[in-house]
Amino acid sequence: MQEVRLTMSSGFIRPGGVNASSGPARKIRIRACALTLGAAVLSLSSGCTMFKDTSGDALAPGATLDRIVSDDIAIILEQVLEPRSTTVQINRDRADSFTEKLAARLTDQGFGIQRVAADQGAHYVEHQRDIVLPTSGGARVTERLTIGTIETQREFTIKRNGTVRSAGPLRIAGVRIPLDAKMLSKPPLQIADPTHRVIEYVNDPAVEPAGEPVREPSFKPVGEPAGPLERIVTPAVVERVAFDNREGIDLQSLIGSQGNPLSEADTTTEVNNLFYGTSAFESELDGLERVERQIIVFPNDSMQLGKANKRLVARLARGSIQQDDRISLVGCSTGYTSLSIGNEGLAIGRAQRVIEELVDHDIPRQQIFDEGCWAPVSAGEDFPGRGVVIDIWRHPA
Amino acid sequence: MSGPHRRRRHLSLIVLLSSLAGGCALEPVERDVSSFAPLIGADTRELSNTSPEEIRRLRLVATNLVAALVQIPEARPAVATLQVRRPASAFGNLVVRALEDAGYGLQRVDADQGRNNVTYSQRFARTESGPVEDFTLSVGRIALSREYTRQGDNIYPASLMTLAGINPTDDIDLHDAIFTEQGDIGTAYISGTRMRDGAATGADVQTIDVRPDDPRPIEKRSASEHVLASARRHYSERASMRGIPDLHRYTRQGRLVLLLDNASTLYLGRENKQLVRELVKRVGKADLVVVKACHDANGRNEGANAQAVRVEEEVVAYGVAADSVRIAPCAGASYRHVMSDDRVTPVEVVHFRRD
Repeated sequence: MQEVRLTMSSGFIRPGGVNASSGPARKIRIRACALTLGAAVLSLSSGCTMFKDTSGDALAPGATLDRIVSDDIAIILEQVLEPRSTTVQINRDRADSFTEKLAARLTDQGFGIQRVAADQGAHYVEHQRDIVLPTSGGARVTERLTIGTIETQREFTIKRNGTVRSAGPLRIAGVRIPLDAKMLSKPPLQIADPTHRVIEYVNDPAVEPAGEPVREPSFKPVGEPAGPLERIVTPAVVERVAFDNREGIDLQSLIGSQGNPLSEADTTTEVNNLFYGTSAFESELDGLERVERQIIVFPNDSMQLGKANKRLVARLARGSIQQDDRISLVGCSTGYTSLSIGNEGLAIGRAQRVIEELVDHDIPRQQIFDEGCWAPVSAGEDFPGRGVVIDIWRHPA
Repeated sequence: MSGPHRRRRHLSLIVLLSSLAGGCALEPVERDVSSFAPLIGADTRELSNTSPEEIRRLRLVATNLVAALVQIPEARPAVATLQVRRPASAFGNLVVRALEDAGYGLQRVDADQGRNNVTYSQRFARTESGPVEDFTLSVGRIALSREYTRQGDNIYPASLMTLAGINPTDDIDLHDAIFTEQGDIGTAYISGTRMRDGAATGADVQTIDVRPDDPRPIEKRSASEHVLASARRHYSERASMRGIPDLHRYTRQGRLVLLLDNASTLYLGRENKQLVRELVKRVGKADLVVVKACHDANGRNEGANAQAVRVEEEVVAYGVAADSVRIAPCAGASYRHVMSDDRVTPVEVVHFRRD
């Protein structure tokens, strides 16, 4: 009989729907106990989950596992956060038994509980349960729980007689103090190996518990990634996009793939404006009057400034822009483009190019307010299809 | 044995047999109260013992008071975690559920612990105007109270809402239309706010008449959750109209653009949340954070404003003072592009530091 994998998640931002994965095991993602995936595999009833192995034998009520995991996380949180001054956010649309147990447990602990409509708050709870039903019987379960920046993961095995045993130590990331492991792993959990009583700190150099290993993170759930795609566009990304476009790699592979995540530096860098619509700087420009407008037109599908445009920018920088002026700069790309970076990449890249040129001419960066204007259709007469609009704003004399 | 005794014994036997035949004990069946019971710590028995009509009336009152509460700056759900005790009355259950629905973080306590301890009361009185019920909801030093009167199966406000423990404000929208929907054409009630010491709040005081086109069938009346969401939205809209301080006195420190999956989602996603966390680490006490979302093509910016509010609340949730976060207004533009619903949408967050 074929091995079967299941994933149940609640509170995750982009739950994945149902997917079949390749490999020796079939993996299916289930959201928040809401789907009955064939009576042969999993039955859910009124807040009590029962696992069944591939032979159809009941293994253990999921409530036991819920209790073990919720107890452990409550004990961890109590050590890391002050319950009386911490509010945990739980998605109000999640009504699975684990979420309810966790909420009740944290409530008893003294934490505030906030039911939220989206992923609000500093301590938003996400839970994922991967279940593997091997052909040999029983079940192997991976529990992954995230509360704000704290992330835990642990594997369990469930025997045919219903006992829940540890299949590894508790792994934790995002804490900055060593935790007391004695409080964890209590009955009804059976510890299969003494090493499972140790807490493994993952990828957190701030934690320095004596004798405890710090290993590389491996918090990827089985198969599909749980988190949202990276979508932070920075000048560095635009540069990479422009470069890699020549190599035939598309935008999504750079800014939308788990395989090519942005570096930490990228995600914390100030990001250029990507607005459609109104200027973000109206309040900055209140009371100023526009004294000059210059449109820098780029060649089709190009971010090359060219000699003529460089002269235009130099003239503005040396002859027109004064010390207290504000420069509003809108990089545009509208209409069809054959580049895979799309209109967005072009618009941002063009704006960036002009900014660099202005800065090279000693115009302070903070004097420049850059925005984008892009669309797959023409913007009419309001903005050029492939250019950068530079407006110089000045206090009335 | 006398006749009456025999009849009573037969009756008992019939009751016993019928209960045994049914295979169940003679326990009252509790109604499903999950739609209005608190999600944690509910007293479902108390709710089950209350008639559906009474629950509907009490829920209107609870919604009315909580909808006002969410519009008080220092008691907004984004900035206040409330301490509540396990409710012991139907009204208490409905108040706690309304607080949950309004988005408050709730801590369960055993006594009057906490800075934002919640108390409530329902008092009955006979006044010159007839019998009225006086409901009060208090959070810490803030208190909201109002008299209500019953008319047939319905309930209506019988006074202005009295506010205490806050600065006078004219910004509170009472959402009193929830009472008008009940019916009773020709009924009139007073709507508005006043301070406990008698001072005016500056808000309009008006008499609301129930008109022939006001009543709605029960299934079409405003849901409590929607009223509370509307109240939160109202606050945010008013907040955005407060304007932004003179930015010439500030230096721009940093700017980031959060990209949301589409024009209607309120989910930020992990990376956006991480960016907000990073930004908040740099924000000082006197700093200013300006949030702006203006992507709606229709010029009304409802969806964009909801996203701006979502981001504003996220910034506040990480510890930035609510007063330091402002939502920038949007103005019309001639170059606004029509965006499809599934288009990634930007929300800009700019960090300023006082010079």
